[in-house]
Amino acid sequence: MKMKRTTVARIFWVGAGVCVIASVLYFMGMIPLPVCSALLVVTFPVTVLSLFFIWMAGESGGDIPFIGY
Amino acid sequence: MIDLVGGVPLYILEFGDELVYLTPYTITLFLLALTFTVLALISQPEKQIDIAFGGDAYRAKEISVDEMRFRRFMAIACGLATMGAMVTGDIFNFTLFTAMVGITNVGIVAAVKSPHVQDAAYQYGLVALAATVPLFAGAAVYAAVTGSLSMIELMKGTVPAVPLIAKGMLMLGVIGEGMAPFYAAKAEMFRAPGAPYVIMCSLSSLLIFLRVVEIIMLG
Amino acid sequence: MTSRSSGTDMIAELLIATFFGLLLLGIHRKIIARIQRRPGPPIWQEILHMLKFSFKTTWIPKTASPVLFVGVVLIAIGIWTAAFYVLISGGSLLVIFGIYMLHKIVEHGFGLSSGSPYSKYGGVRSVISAASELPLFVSVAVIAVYTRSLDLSAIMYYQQVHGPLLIIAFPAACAMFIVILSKMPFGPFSIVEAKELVSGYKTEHFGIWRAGLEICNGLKTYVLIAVFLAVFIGPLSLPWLLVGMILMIVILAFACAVTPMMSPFDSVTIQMLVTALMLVYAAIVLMVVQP
Repeated sequence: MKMKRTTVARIFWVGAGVCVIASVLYFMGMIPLPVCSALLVVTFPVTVLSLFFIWMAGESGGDIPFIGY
Repeated sequence: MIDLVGGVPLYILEFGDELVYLTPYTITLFLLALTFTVLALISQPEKQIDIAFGGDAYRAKEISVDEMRFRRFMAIACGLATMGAMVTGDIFNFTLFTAMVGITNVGIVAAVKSPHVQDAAYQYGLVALAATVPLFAGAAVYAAVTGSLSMIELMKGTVPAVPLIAKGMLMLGVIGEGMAPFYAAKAEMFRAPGAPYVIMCSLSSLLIFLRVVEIIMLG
Repeated sequence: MTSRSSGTDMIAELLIATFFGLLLLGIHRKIIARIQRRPGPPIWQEILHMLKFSFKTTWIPKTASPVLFVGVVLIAIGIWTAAFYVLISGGSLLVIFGIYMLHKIVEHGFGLSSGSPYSKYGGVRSVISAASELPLFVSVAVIAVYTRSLDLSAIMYYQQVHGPLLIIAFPAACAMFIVILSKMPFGPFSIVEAKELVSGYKTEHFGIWRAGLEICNGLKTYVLIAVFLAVFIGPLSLPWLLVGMILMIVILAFACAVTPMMSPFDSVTIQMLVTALMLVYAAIVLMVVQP
């Protein structure tokens, strides 16, 4: 299962956008707290992991399990 | 005793016996059950590695497709029963869902071809079976004292107070489905391969325990 | 942490809480090291850890169940994000403790999804240490008897009127302290990540998966300690909240530094004993306070 860096970057920007917009809308009192937190609970983990993927983006394949000596 | 344990009910669906009500608490629990059921639905089982102690030999366990299909079915059934127990507003329905969770938990690991796991499943099955007695007895006392099994009625406080013994029996029944101190057999069941399905075993009993805490505080 | 209706920047608060939680874990490590006469890492080590892991090459092990392997990291961060928002909105204590118990499922998920025997035993140990949650529910029940509500905002209001629950219900505070202690690294009850299992349930989650787990740990530490302060001390202004959290982590670090890690069965036995004592205490409270 591999993802291109550009796809991950898109996921990150969408996620970060939703996070910021939701908190700005809540800050201005346009959406209630449960809606804002529901959005953040869903998008925050995805955003964080995709951010890490962007700056890591490993190109190597799978591993050979190493089982003791 | 305490008002609005799980928050203000946001939505109540009254459909005969099939009373469903959603509070922030039950929605949270429902969504968690849903998430893990979807995970069981879409994920492949892992290939568990076993080490032969004292040597350097190891082997990966493969799960046959038939076995995986059956266990996935059981895991999804378990997830559905758990979701039902999370949102139901009727105590008898809750006990039925709880009993079904006990049965499906045995089913999830019963197909594993390992004597150790089968033993654990058998022992767990016995405890869960015995626990249904106080579970249904508790619901019966609820009905006998209050004349209603609806949690909405209990919440309104218009019915007579529920005796402590009924709450205790309901709690004991749920604890018997796999909470401490009856979880010992369950821990052994976790040796079974097939992580997404095995996790449903522990998730279901945990969520049902969380729900019963809310229920016994209602009346 | 006080409850508030609007006018806060949610995402910024979440990030600050995560980093502050990681900083608390760093202080925890530093204090344990100093007590044991080691120099110890700098206090921002856990933040560096998280960043370091996020730069590592990452893949999914061949033996793992891929969707669960990744999904459980997302769920781990998600549930503690939810707990954080329940905390700042002054929501129900029951939801936070539900999430606390679900962290156990997340540990199973981490342990079982990779197929490695070490992480599997970490997961199995987390099942047998399920006894650690029971004192929690007894202490919640005691709090409910006093305050007649489980909303954090109502509990904090009660304490403004009647004084802190730390004094009124001291045994309940002790029980919850043990519950938090059982989730701290290097503590007497942290059998799920014991070194004989390499790193326990998190052995096979490396690279960015581990970085995600570190974020979850930071949030978890912040939320658990802030909930303890909110439930047993009452509403605190921001500077006092930070002082209180650092004080809590110092006490926890002392408890972790001077106790050895127990064997799994001893750990369970002690947690069961605490539960039994708490049940007796709850029965007394129920008879005295609410005849």
